[in-house]
Amino acid sequence: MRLRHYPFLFKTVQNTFDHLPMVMSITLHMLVVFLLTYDFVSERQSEVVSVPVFVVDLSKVKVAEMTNLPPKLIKSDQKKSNKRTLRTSAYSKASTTKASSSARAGKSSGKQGGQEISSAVLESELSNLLNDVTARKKTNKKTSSTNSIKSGGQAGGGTEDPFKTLLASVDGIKSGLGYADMQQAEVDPEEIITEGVEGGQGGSYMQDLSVSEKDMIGIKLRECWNLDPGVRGAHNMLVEIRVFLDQKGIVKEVSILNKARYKKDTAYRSVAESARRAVYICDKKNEESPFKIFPKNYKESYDNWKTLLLRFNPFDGGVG
Amino acid sequence: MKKIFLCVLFLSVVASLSAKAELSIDITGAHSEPMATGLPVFSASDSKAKEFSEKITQVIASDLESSGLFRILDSLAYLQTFKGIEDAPVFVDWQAIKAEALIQGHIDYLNERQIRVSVRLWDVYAAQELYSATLEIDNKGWRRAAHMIADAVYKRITGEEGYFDTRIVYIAETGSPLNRIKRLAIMDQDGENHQFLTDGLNLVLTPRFSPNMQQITYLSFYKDTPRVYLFDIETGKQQVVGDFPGMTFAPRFSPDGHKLIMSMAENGNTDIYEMDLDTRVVKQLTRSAAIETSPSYSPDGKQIVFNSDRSGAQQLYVMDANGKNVKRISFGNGRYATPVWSPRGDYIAFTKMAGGKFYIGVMFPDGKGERLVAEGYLVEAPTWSPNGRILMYFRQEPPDRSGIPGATKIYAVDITGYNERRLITPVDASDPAWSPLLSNR
Repeated sequence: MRLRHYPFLFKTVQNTFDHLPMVMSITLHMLVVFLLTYDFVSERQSEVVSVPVFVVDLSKVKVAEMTNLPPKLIKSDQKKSNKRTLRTSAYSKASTTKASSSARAGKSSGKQGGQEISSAVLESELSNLLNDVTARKKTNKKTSSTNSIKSGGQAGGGTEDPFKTLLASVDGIKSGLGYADMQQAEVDPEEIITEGVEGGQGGSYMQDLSVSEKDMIGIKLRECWNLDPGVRGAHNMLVEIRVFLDQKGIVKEVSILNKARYKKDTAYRSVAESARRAVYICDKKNEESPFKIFPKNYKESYDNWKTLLLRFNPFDGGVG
Repeated sequence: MKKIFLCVLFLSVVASLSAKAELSIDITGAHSEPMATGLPVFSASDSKAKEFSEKITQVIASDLESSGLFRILDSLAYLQTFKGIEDAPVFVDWQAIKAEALIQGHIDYLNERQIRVSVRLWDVYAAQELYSATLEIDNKGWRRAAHMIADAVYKRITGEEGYFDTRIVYIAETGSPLNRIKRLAIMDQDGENHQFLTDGLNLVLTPRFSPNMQQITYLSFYKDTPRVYLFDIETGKQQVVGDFPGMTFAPRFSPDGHKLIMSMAENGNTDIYEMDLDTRVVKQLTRSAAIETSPSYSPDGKQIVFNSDRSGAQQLYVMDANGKNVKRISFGNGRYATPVWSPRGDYIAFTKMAGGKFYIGVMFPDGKGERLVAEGYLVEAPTWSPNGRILMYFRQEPPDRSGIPGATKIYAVDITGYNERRLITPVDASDPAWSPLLSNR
């Protein structure tokens, strides 16, 4: 068969070759669409679990009055005598009474309110979850579509919902991370000094460190930082340093982060070493050290300040 | 599928919970003061080595303090003495006197000709060795060895090349104002090893070092005609550069040392010319009715800065090395002259005349960021240290009541405008030029 005897076919083939990239593109797109469609259909035929919708009960969430003030300034003035279920922030600074402390210790998996983040805890939680899910899969392939956390009581024993297991595991991990107080406990409100958002999760230690405290640390480090202002390129240089503190707020180790530039750029090395020296010089000031604020005001949350990221910028504030 | 989905979700939840944001603190700005440095007299192997140890330590201390970036602590405050280079510093003792850096050294007397100098630089607070070196040198070269050690310390601390192992060539001026004798003279950057290079029979001006340190180019008046000359430091021979029809002046070497750029005045018009020193071929770079002079190459040799009055007033211009793309960069009040491109390329230094005063200033090569670092009745002729940190220039005092011009002296100032200091010369001095680093020769 000779193509020239079939002009239409000849033209079609010629057009196809002329538009080969477009043809290839359309073909590939169609292939992708087909495969996806086929995959969805086959999935639909097999067992499919829809993603449950979370319903969180916000009725017990209470916002503290002054959440933007330093923690020390925030005092709870609640004087309710009746005992009730209360959620408290894990970041309340252990100003609770012995009773609440013991209650917390009993609930939490960590020794001190679960401040230590243990990788073993995380691993065990992960294996627990996998075991639960596996068991669940074996025993009951049809999952409950109960998605409300409030009505989670529907599932119990060996047939509990995987998402409940997951959330339970998350709660457990929270305990390990120091979220133990978020678990419900019967405590006397009078014995609790709360800080920040009550009842809600999230928030971090950094919200507790006030702006003025951060500024104070920055100013003290600036006073310790002796920099040659004529260093080449210093006007647009930013040095990041990680500082490791012990529980007394004493510098254990100082690490300059941008190692590649440190090795290559002698001007950067000069600025970085002067910044590192500033950290050590400030540290040697004993009680005047800027890092002493941490054991003094935040002793209970060592995990949150055992490493600090210091960002030294020579010229934003000028060199004088 | 469901299992995988759950695992992924679980891991992401775990990750979000465990990946807590690290507490970060910004430190903006710093203070600046000379770095407190401990420099005990270098230990010595014997009495002969001890003669050198005190002298070398003194020169290192003098070099570092002259930079304005180091403050050598009083030796009476030192709590530790070193017996050898292997003695480890007791950092607590040095921290107690607030030393930030410590220079530890030792001298061994090898024979009648040679000594060995060992040195270690410590960061006292980080308790870390920053630099160490051992030099075996000729006894007569002890001063240079000290300069080299000071350069190494300076470089390790500041990140810039040092400038202590360098020389200065300048115009030594003697005689009465009416019969001024100007000679070419050379000395170490600290004023030592001074010597005159010319006899003073002919007036000399604007000396400049070649990058290889072997030659100096300058302007000399021979039979009342200014000509550009080359002077060989090793042989003492001098030769006129080219056979030009007019006056030639303001010479300067290209960064590679193979070309000479200068001005030539002919029939009342001054333009910039470039001469290849290997082939002696001359090329005219500017063609303007204006006076164009004081050319200076950028450190990469691709551009030239010069001053011209083509706009009606004396201003600075930058052009490509082939004379094209001429662009004005100075727009301030007053007149601008004697531009010199910094060896590190980030600044152009200049002399400015405004409001009846002279200034030495710097600006970025695009003309922005003009900053004046010195002022006076007459301050002129800036020259850069090889690391581009220090500017040297001469200053003339105002004339006295009888109209006799004031003395001329050489000064140096950091580009930050701090630490202005006078360079001691045996006679009045003007038109300084800084050599490249001798150890880089």
